[in-house]
Amino acid sequence: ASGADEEMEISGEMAINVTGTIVDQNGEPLPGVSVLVQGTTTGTVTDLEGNYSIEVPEGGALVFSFIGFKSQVIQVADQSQINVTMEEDARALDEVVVVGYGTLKKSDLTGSVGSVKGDKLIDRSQPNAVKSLQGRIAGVEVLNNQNSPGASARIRIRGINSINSGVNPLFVIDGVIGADLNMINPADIESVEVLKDASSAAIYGARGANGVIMITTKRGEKNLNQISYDSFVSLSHRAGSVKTLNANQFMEIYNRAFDNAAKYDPQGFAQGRYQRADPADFPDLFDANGQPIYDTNWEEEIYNPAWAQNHNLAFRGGSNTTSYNVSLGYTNEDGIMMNSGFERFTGKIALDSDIKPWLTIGGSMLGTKSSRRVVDDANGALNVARMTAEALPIIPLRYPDGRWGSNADWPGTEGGENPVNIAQNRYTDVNITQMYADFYMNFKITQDLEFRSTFSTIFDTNKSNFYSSRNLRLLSADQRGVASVGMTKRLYWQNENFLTWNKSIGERHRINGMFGFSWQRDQFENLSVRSEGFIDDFFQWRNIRAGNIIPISGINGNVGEAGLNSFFSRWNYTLDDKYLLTVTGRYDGSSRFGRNNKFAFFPSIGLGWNLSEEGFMDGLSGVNKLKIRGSAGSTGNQEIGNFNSLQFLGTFNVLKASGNEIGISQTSFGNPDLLWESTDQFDFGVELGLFNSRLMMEADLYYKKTKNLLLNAPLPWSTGFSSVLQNIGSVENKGLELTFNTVNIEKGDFMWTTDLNWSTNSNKILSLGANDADIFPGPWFLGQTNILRVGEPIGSIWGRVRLGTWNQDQADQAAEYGLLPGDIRWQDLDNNNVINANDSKIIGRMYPKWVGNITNTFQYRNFDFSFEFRAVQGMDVINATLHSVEDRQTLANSYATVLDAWRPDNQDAMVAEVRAWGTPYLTNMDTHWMEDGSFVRLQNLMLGYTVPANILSRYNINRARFFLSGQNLLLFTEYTGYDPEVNTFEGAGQLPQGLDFFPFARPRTYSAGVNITF
Amino acid sequence: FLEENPGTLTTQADLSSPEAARAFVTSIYANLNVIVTGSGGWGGNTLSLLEFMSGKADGVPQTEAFRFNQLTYDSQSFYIDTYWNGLYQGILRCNVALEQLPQFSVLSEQELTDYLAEVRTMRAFYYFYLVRMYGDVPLISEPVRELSDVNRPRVPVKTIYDEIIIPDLLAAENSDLAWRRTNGEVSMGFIKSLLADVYLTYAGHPVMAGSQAYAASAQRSMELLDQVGTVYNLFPEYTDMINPDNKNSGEFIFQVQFDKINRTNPLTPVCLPTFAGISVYSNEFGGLVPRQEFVESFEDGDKRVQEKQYFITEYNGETLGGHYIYKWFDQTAVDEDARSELNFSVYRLPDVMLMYAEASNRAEGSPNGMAIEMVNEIRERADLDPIGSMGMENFEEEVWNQRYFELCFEGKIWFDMLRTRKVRNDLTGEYDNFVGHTNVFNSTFAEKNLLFPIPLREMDVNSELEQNPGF
Repeated sequence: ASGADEEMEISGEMAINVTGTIVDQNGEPLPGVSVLVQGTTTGTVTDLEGNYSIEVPEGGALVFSFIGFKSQVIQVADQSQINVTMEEDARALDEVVVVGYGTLKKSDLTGSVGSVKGDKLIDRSQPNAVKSLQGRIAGVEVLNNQNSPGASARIRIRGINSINSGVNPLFVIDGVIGADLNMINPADIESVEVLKDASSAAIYGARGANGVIMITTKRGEKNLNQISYDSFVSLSHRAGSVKTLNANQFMEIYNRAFDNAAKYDPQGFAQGRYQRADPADFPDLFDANGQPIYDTNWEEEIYNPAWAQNHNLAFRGGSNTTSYNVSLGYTNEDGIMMNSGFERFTGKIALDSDIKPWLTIGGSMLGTKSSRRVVDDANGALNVARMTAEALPIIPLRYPDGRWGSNADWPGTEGGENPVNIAQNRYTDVNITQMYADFYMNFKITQDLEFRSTFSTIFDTNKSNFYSSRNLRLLSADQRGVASVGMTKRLYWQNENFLTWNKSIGERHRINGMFGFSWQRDQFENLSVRSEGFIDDFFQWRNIRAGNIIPISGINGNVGEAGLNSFFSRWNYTLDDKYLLTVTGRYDGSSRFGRNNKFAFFPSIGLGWNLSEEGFMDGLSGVNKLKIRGSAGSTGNQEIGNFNSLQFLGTFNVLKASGNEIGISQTSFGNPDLLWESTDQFDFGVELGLFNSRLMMEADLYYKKTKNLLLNAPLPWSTGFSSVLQNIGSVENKGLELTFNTVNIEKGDFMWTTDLNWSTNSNKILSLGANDADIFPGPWFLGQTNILRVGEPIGSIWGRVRLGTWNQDQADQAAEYGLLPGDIRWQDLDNNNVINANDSKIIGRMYPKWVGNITNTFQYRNFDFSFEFRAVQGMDVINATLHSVEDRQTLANSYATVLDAWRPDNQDAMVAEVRAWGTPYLTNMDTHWMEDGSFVRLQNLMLGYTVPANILSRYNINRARFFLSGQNLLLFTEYTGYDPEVNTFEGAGQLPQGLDFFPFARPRTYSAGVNITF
Repeated sequence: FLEENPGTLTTQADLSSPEAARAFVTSIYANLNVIVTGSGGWGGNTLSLLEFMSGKADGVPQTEAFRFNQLTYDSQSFYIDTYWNGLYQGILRCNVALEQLPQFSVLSEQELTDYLAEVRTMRAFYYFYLVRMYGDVPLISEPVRELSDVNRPRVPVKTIYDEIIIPDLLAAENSDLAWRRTNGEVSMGFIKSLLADVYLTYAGHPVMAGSQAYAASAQRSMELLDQVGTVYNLFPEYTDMINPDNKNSGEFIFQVQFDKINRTNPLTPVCLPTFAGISVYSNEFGGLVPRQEFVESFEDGDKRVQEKQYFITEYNGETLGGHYIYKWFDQTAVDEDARSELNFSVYRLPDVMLMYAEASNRAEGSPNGMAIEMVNEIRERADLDPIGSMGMENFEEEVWNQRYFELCFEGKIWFDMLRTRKVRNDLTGEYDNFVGHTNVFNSTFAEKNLLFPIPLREMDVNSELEQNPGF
């Protein structure tokens, strides 16, 4: 409980001029500290040297406060000089957090808001801000599925509560709604706040259902000019290896597979369908003794150590009335897969100025230009990653005469090109330019009442240039080279206007009210052209008409736009700093919804009780903070794409003998009754601080139920349509989130702190469509991979149960299935002696049971050391790669696991007996492909050294720190692929996770860097 | 502020130009290629379903040919849903066109009549496939627009014939459409061929409409055969059919169009031996491969079974290890550019000639001179001796034989088996009853194999449907 509650009397007759200097615990002067006469609005701030001067009425007291420090109240009595040493409030009891349309003291919050400061984000030596968020906040899951440089990451808050509508959270960057955090330079970020529950997110109404991530970028501080330079270089290499057959092993399996063809297809064998190649006919590949000349390790050819560098330079500061921020960033990252890479320039300018006592204006511009070279596209086809495993070891990279080696050089194979050839002759350059601009005017109408009007835009262009050369079989050889150029352009604007009323009534009541309205419009256009039939590889996409075939299907363009019109309000009431009430509501209208349902209302309520402020808690001296809070409310989800409520007549091309003609017909069923998904959410939270906040704990329990689920509900095909969006179905998510921050040891120069967060979410589908029929959302991979079924979670893996292989003494049983000893033995679920689609069931889960992150930080004098472990437990990964590398001998190279395939002398095998491809053989999604994907990763390890201030002051440097760090240094998992945190089907739907088909291997990274502030 | 302006057409759009009217007609052809389109796994094609079922072909494992060869297919098997979905999408387009066309005041009465004839013929075509494959099916003759109206029950096969297929075609017969339209559109030749086929099928199983239907069929074939020498001509050589210059001419009556740029013929690489390396195609699928038993069952001396007529066994000195289909072997595509432009025939002259022979034989109780001549023209091109006079049943079997050999792998044989309920046994050369016939994969047809199952997804979604027996 705070002191100095007594009533104040201000006579105004007698006043004392008080001066002083304010310093931090190290004796460094603190500029910008607020000095306030208690109980009044009279105040000042300290200057650059930490000095202040203020008139105080007799008997008055001064309140010293500064963000990040504990506030102090000092009775003036007759002192004319009061020097204060501010104590850092490392546990940030009273930090201010950004919520929608304003800020709130954390102690006044009734909702669940997670917060990360910007300096934490740049610890990771990671240029992607979303990836930097991984593991920072309980309940905020970042799925870092792609390892190619510059790739985006997925982010999910409190599970998945939609099937066909969006599942991404809403990003709000400096108030600009709908931005993309993947594009923001982490070095420009001041703080990230995540609004997780309804009480906090409902202010974003129809777009708040998946949670809201608020990003505040850095601004200048008044009267504090500084220059900072942050930089690192890093070296990455492939963290793991997956073994394939070497040349001799390949030949052994090849020959055995052909021997076995007689067993598995005697008739075809007799007809001569299985003709193995004779090494004697291939002197380029085999020596006179029939031994392979080459033994190429393609994994080592494709993955090489790669460098990255990152530089950020920022100028920040200001005068008494104006502050500025100018910053520049540069990233250049080479990928460990040859020829992949990413380069990004960022720039930011922000300006804020109090141009009148009643008017503050400001704005910022944030620009990003990036280029990314992707060489691992075409997942599923014979692309680089796949050929890294499937290129034959007996084939050279190049022959002595310079020709590329290719699987086509060995007859009967699928004939893919070697991966180095592909990586050099097929690429997409993705060029993105983004500009965020926002402008605001803030009118101070009275002491308590402010009006703010903002205008913001996002301008985004994306141009992809693609070429795949004339010599790449199975990719672009049939087309004689393929080039494409695609452009998208997006222009978004918003205008928001809101009044904020901040009123204290007496000592007991505080009211914060806000009311506003906004308009938003989003427009996009895109155009793409593809051509084929190039006369030479010289031209590529730069001269797209050097390809003499431009099919009409290769020309595409469309436009779209969407609008939102909203009214919103939030009221916070605090009684005695103990009892908290928040009420919010947003009334949203969206162009995306049906004519009959354009507007909807999203309310929420939150209650909080700061128990530690109560007198009866005084006896519990160890408890310095205890708060319980609860909230309920509703948020919406409108991310269904545009125009879905309309019945379209579409045009399409119809081939006639003379070429294409235009056809017109109805192409969408349309649903004029479409409305938003709404998620009702309940949250109960406890915040506890013990032993002077040395142990801080926050726990949240939540329940979410999404109704009116926008479902691409299947229509009978007999209508001529496949599906229509309908509001049918519901899904629930419930979970628990725990956060602990402890100071374990704080002794002299040594401090050890631990930050731990842990969360669990359980998801369940409650209803689906009119008759709760199962839905297979895809992707399809030799059978359905996952199922949506009432009573089961989203991401339930669907497949057969592989019991192993049939043994010799089970030959009669196998024969009932038309199989032989050596064939795969699946569980016959319906016992009808046929293995078909009815023998599949739910065999696993894609999403984890729980996720935890623990970071330990040690500080000793000028050294800091930290390490972070991340644990993801109770999830399965579909190692779909096993289909191609265990079941296709003679078509391509195999994993070394086929050495352990069934043989008469090795009957207890999971992998079927090897056989030449073409014999009747089933290969389907089953439990053998599904592996336990649980893992523990040493995510980050960092050692830093801060140069002592007395040395730095000689060079006019405020702060200098050098660091070494490592990412992904250790991985503990039973998963046999490169990494269990993976999904190579990112384009094939938003629900599936952990589908692994020839991924880009995960790097391990070592970095060295510096942070300098002048 | 919240109104959507998509910048494209909705069903409320106001269209009036003659070109827009034509575009509604054009749309009906968009699903014609459902009978010859990639489907299922690697190397799969909808055409292959009918050939796998007939037991005369198999394919690589990914086509799941073995499911159909071994008769273990079910309502989730490949291809079955592609047909259902594609055929009904074609029907939707026809229904939309039938709804919209009368609203175009720019069309003259004759233009409108001809357009409607074109549309109704295609609707009959799509329904004709549906009833032969699935039996009773939902009858949809107008676009379905309301969500409350999407679940439609199955309607008996005969009703579909009587209320849609036959009336549509009889109406189309009364148009002024030309006997041949070289742009690949519905022609009078196609209308007559289709109607001949419809009546021939209607006369057989399962409707068994009898001799009137045979006569009606023979009448339409005859009308088309009257155009032989002027509009239609048998090609002198089988290989004329794989000359791209001959598309939509000669003996071709109605074809699915392919070209080098917009849509290439998928069958060319599908029928090449798997990864034999004989072509410039990256993928040589081996997805549809004749069974040796069938190839060996051709009459001795039949030209069609000789090298590079209907089949090849070697190419450029490479032995292929068996017979492969040569019917869509586009030489330029195989050797040079991997872009096959050959069309796929829905009807060609020998089909109609044999339909005439079969239908007139049944209608009249014995083969007439014209019927015998038709069979002999086909035999003559195959270097086979002519037949003389025969009894009705022997003649019918000879007609069927010629259909098996002449039209093999063109999606015809399976439907012949269904309507005749007879199967030519490759090993004996005799005609077995369908139910009880054991194919070369040692699997035996049962009653249930007369119809494909309704796709499981459709059963799940439409509560009004009942599954075919046995599935």
